[in-house]
Order: sequence, then C-alpha cells, then structure tokens
Amino acid sequence: MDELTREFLIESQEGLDRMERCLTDLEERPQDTELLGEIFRSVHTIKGTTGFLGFKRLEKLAHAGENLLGLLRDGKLQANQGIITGLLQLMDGLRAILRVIEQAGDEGGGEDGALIERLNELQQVDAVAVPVAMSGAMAVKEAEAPMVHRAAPPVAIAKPVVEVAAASPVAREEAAPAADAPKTRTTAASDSTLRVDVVLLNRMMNLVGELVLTRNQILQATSADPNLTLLSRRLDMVTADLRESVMRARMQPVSNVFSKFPRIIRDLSQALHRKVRLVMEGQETELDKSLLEAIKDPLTHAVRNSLDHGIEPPEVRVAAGKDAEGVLKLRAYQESSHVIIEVSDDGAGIHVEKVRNKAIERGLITAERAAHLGERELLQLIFLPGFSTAEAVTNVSGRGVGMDVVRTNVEKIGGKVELDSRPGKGTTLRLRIPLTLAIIPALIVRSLDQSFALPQGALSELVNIPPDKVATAIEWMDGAPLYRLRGKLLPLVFLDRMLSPAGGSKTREAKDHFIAVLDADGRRFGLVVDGLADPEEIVVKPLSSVLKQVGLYTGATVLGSGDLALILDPGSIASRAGVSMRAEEERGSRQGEEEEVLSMSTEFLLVEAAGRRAAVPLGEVLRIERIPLSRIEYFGYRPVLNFEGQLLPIEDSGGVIAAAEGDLEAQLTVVVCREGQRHVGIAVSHVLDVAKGGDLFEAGTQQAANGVTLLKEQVTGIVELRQVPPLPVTGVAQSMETWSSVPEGVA
Amino acid sequence: MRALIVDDSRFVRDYLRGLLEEKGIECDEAADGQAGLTRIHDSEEFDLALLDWNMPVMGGLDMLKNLRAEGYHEVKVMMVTTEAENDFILRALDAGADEYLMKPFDSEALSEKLAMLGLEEI
Repeated sequence: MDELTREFLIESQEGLDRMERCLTDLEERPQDTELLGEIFRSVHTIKGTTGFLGFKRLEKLAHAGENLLGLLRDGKLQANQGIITGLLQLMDGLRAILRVIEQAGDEGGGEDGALIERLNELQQVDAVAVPVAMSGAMAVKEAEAPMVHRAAPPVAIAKPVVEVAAASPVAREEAAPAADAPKTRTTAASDSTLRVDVVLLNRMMNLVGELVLTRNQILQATSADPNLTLLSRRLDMVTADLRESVMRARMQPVSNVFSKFPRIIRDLSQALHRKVRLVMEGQETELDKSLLEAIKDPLTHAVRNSLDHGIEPPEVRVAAGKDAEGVLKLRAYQESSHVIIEVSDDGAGIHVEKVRNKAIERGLITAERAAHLGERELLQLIFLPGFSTAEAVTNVSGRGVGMDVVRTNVEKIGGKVELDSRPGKGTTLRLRIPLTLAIIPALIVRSLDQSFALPQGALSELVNIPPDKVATAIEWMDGAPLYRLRGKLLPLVFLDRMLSPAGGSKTREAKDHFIAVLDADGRRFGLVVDGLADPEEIVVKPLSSVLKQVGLYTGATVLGSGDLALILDPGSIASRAGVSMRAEEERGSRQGEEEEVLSMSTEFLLVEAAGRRAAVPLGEVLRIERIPLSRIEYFGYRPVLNFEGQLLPIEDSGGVIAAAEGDLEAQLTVVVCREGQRHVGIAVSHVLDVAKGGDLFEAGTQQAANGVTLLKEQVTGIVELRQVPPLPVTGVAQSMETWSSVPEGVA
Repeated sequence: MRALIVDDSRFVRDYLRGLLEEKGIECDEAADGQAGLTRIHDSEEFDLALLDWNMPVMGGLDMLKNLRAEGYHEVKVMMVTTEAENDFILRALDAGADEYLMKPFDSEALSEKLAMLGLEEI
C-alpha cells in the first residue's frame, strides 16, 4: 500500500472518530450547527479525497451521507432519533469499507444499496415534514453556511494535537493556552506535533532497552572507580530521562478507548431497554499504546456486562427506590506505576446465590464444595472459564466468552482484575494495568546457582527462614510443603525442584531459605529460592521458541552483572504447582479416608469466618450463640462478651467483627468453647457443618501434622484454643475471679 | 515559484504537494483559512494559493475575501472544490478567485489550470 493511501485511511478513520463523538453530542443538542458542520466535514472530506484514489464504492456511500448531512447543516432538516441512527449506520458502513481497503488494498465487492437508500429516504421523508424549497438559487443562498465555522469551537484546535500519536504532554499543554490567542493558535498546534510511525517508536523503545542494559552493566563495572562513578551516574540519569521520554511518546490518552463507549452504551441501552447515563472520568490518563489496545476488548466486555447484568430495567429500579436512570461510570487514574481503570454501575450487584447455583449447574464446582465457599470466593467463580450469569442468552453478553477472557487478557499484559459487588448497590470491576510492558521492576533471585527475575508486580512479601529453623518452619503434608504465615497456611513451591526434579534438595536443611510470597491467578503461594539479589529494572526480551515451550518463563533479560536471567512467570508456576497441589490434596484425602478406618478420627465443627474455613474440635464446643454485634464490648483492644454475667474473651482471628463494624444490625455467631479451666468465644460468620476430620500425616512418618485436618476433602486449619491469650488480671479482678469457675450454666 | 496549499485534509495537502513539487513549485501548507492567512502575513510572497472550500475555523471563501480585502492582489488564488461546491464557483470568482480546480484531479488537470494562470514553468 502506498504512502498516500495509508495517509487517506488514517485521515478517514480520524474523521469518523470525530464524527462518532459529535453524533453522541448531537443527541443532546440536535440543532448545534457547529456539531453538524463538523460531522458534515468528516464525511465531505472522505468523499472529496476518495475520488483521487478511485474508491467508487466508498465515494457513493459518502456522497449519499453528504447529501443528508448538507440538509441538516443548512437547517433544512431537523436531526431526530431516526436520522442519528441512520448516520451511525453510515459511519459503520464507511468504517467497514475502510477496513476492507486496509486489509485487501481495494474495496471488495460489497453492496451498500440498502444503506444508501435508507439515507436517501431520510432526506425525503423529513424533507416533506419540513417543507423547504430546494431550488438551486436557494442552495446558493444557503451556502453562506460555511461562514458559521468562523466561530468554530476550541475542539478544532485541540484536534490536530489529539490526532498525533506521538504528541508529548508538553506539546499538549502548550496547545491549550494557545487557544486563547486566535491569531497564532492553529499554527502552534500544527507546528508542535508530528506524526511518527509506531514501528519507529517501537524501535526506539528497543534501543532504549539496550541502553538501559548497558547502563546497568556500566554502573556495576565502574562502582569501584571514583573517577568513573560520577560519569556513570550522569549516564544513569540521562538514560532514565530518555527512557521516560520514549515511553511517553508511546502513551495515548485512554479517551481513545473510552470514546467508543457512548455509542456502545447508546445501542445497548436501546436493545436492552435500560436507561443509562454514562459518566467518564480521567480520560486524559495516559497508557502505553499496546496496552491500550490490549484492554479494549476486556473493557468492552465489562461495560456490556454492566448493562446486561448490572443495571436493572427502569421499572425494576423505580420499584427498588432508585432513579430510573442507571449510572455507568468509567474512571481512569494513575496509581504509582499502574493505571487503574474502573467500570462501575449502580445496578443490582452480583447475587452470590445465583453465582453459586450457576457454577454448580455448569459443573464448575461440586455442590458440596460450593456450600463451603464464602461470598468473596463465590465472586471469584465468575472468572472461571465457561461461567455466565445471564439467565437468558442474549446477543449482548452471555455468549460463552466471559469474565475469564477479561481476566486472562488483563493478566497477559501483567495486569490484575478485582471485583467488588454489593447486592442492590452495584458492582465495580477494577483493571490494574502496568504503565509499560517493556521495562519492569523485578527482584533477582538465585536458585540452582542461576539468577532468575521475578516481576515485582506479583510479589507481595519476602520471608527468610534461617538454616536452624528450616526443619520446623516448613511443614509437610503428604509430600506437599506448607508454611504457616501469620496463622495462614501458604503452599510452597521449591523453585529448584520444579526446574530440576532430580537435583536440589540434598543440602536443603543446612542453608538459608527465602520465600517469595506471590499472588498469581487469584492464588497465593510461596516460591522457595536459595538467595535474593537486588531489585533491578529489567528489560523484557522475547524468548526463543525452545524456552517458550518450557512454559515457566515470560522472557529473558540481561542483568547488570552481564549475566543472562530468565524471567519467571508466577501464573505458570502457580498452575503447574497447582496441578500437583491438587494431586496432593486428592492423595491426602484418600489417605485420610483410610486413616479414618484405621485410627481414631475427631469430629469437628466446621465454621466459616469472613470467607475462610476453620475447624473447632467438637468436644470442646459448649454452645453456639447468635448475638447482635452491639453486645460486643471492648476490654482494651480485645473484644469481649458479657455472657450471663461473665466476661468471655472473643477470639476473632478471622476478622468477622471488624468486617461487620459499622453495621448496627449485624448479627454475630459466637462459638463458646472450653479451654482447660476457662471458656473462650470464637467469632464466626457461619457454622457450616459437623464433620469427621482425618488426621494428616507427615510423609513417611506416623506423626499427625499439627494444626490442620482434612474436612470434606479440604485441608482445614484447626482453631487453636490454647493460643487465645487470657485477659489481663489488673482492673477486672472482680470478673477475673469468677473466670476460672465459669458456672455450668454456660454450657 | 512558491505555492500555499490550504486544506484541512492532510491527504489532499500531501497529494497536491507531490504534484506541485514535481513541477518544480515550492510548497507551504496550512490546515485552515485562518492559518493560511497567517502564513501569508508571515512569509515572503506566494505566487499561488490553492484553497479548499470547506474547512474548520475559516473556509476558503472567507480566506479569499480577507486576502483581497487586506490588499494581497498579486497572489493568484485557485479554489479547489468538489462537485457539491461547484455551484458556488461563481461567487468565488466574484470574490476574486482566479481559477478553480475540481476534485478529484490528476497531474494533467492541475497543469491545465496552472497554464491558464500562466504559471506552469515546465
């Protein structure tokens, strides 16, 4: 394709993008002559330029559109819903032809007869309704219309700047005040921006990447030489600035993606009979072009979901005491090295019971297992492949691709998806996108005497286990290692074993162990490595296909030391280890069943505290009380319950009380237990069941693992009553005296 | 010889520039009538201005009127129009245009019109 045709395509696309924005505004201000002029010009330019290249089909369609738009611009026709819909169809038709030209180089054999006829009809029908003579003389008189454009809005000024992908923010800032000085403004805008080929920008980015690598090496090589240190520090600064600038050149405002939503929402709300007001915030927030491309589809899907499943039909909203018009909000903002994009609605929220039922119905989870999930976990089910909450399959959403695709696409670019939903209040989907892909902060870790890079984005904390603690700190459950991190069990993955199943473990206990706690694919696990080096900014280089097949790496990089390091993919590690984790779990459960027959089994009360399962030995449970939250009092910072005249310390490691704080009508379930001579209460959200627990045995021994049990095929932590600290004696001597002799009435 | 191309379409500006430079004519560009006037105010003399009809901020006809009103009579003005604007050519000629060129045009059509103005050098 020659340069001119490419130029033509870009210009025409931009014209249509402008047209789209104007059409949305036109719905609110159907008589705005500036808008009409702008729309007319977009189509007119396409018609005028397409003739040079001989695209007849495009010319014919644009011509039909131009005729209709001419009448509108000259006030001979009033824009109404029918006409705006027709113009949107015109825009789609033109876009479709442009796409064909872009791909095939010619217009293809499509037929636009029906659309052209429709556009002509719109002229006719309404021309009758607004009878205005259309003689040639009249037309000449009306031609004064272009004069109107003398007062063209500042939009026209901002335009050339927005068009330019490479516009630096500085140029943009300059363009804005320039708008105040009509004499020079246009010159300023067109002079201060350039069109730059994306291929060239990508090449610049790669070169800057190479420069960053070289800088890292020079910094290390020169650190000993005081003469060179100053120079290399300067090089460091300049490189950082240069990198920043090139990155900025690749940035585009999210409005490039947001701008298509008014149209989508207009069409969808009509199709679904919803009343929706779109609010957009932070459209000027900038994001790397390739990332912006990547989030386009996930975002569209999220918006469709909000309309289809979130915002209720007007009559339902009114019945629920809400405004008939729903609000859909798109918001973008930067948070350190991430851009957050939120799609939120004030709709019905996600019904967790429906989610539960649907997941069971779809066979994504067993009914038994689903019964044990808390709200948070249930919400996560939405991200499973093959899940859709649409009760009826519409052509809007519920087409088999769902939130799993959204999550996969966002995670592919190193982002994260978060979901918040409050029944009756609405749903917020948050996409957390890294600012750029090419250079990422990473922690360098050592294993098998090699360096590996671990992306900081997935890293939540680091834990060191000194050599003498290794044997006790790492617990084993049927071959699967676990670490107890602040009372929660963290599955561990030994990097050396995963990479080289034969090697590794011989000297395991004699050295420091480092656990990198990672979050990936909604799962948290600890990656055990031999050593940690400094964090570095690494440049992601693509992998050769051989290494790609391994599946554990996202890329490679050259470290400051000059060494090559592979970049680990926490998601892949999690899923590979997850397979074995599940396998271990199954094996564990089988063994559990055997043990149940062979040896004693304890019965447990299975409870849920703020979404987490826990087991309380049934033998210790005295009674279960349901109380209003307001009855909880505080002794120092510790929650206590005045229970039949006695002070009962409440253990709330699950955070149930904190979660319900502020809700005056919240109810709380307290499991009252006996612990030695005293009684303690455990705050829980629900009591789920009573079940027999299988003891878990350490591999190769007959010693039962402490603190965990197998309940309903799930490894469940046992609440350690002994660890609930007694209340301090001072100040409550009166109460404490009676403590040790709690009357039997409690039980 | 120097020509000023005033058109809001980048495509048209590039296309025209290509044709004119082939003929040995030096070119400058502006994206609307207002910017076109500024160019003429700021720069050395232009022999020719090619004006699009329909542009944002200021259209070709207004630019022409302003240009003549400001006393720039030596600049030859060629209106570049589409079929839709052809009815208005008379008004442009009344306002002081020297020639008009209808889109789409090729090198030959442009040469013809330049020759009519007595401008083509090659």
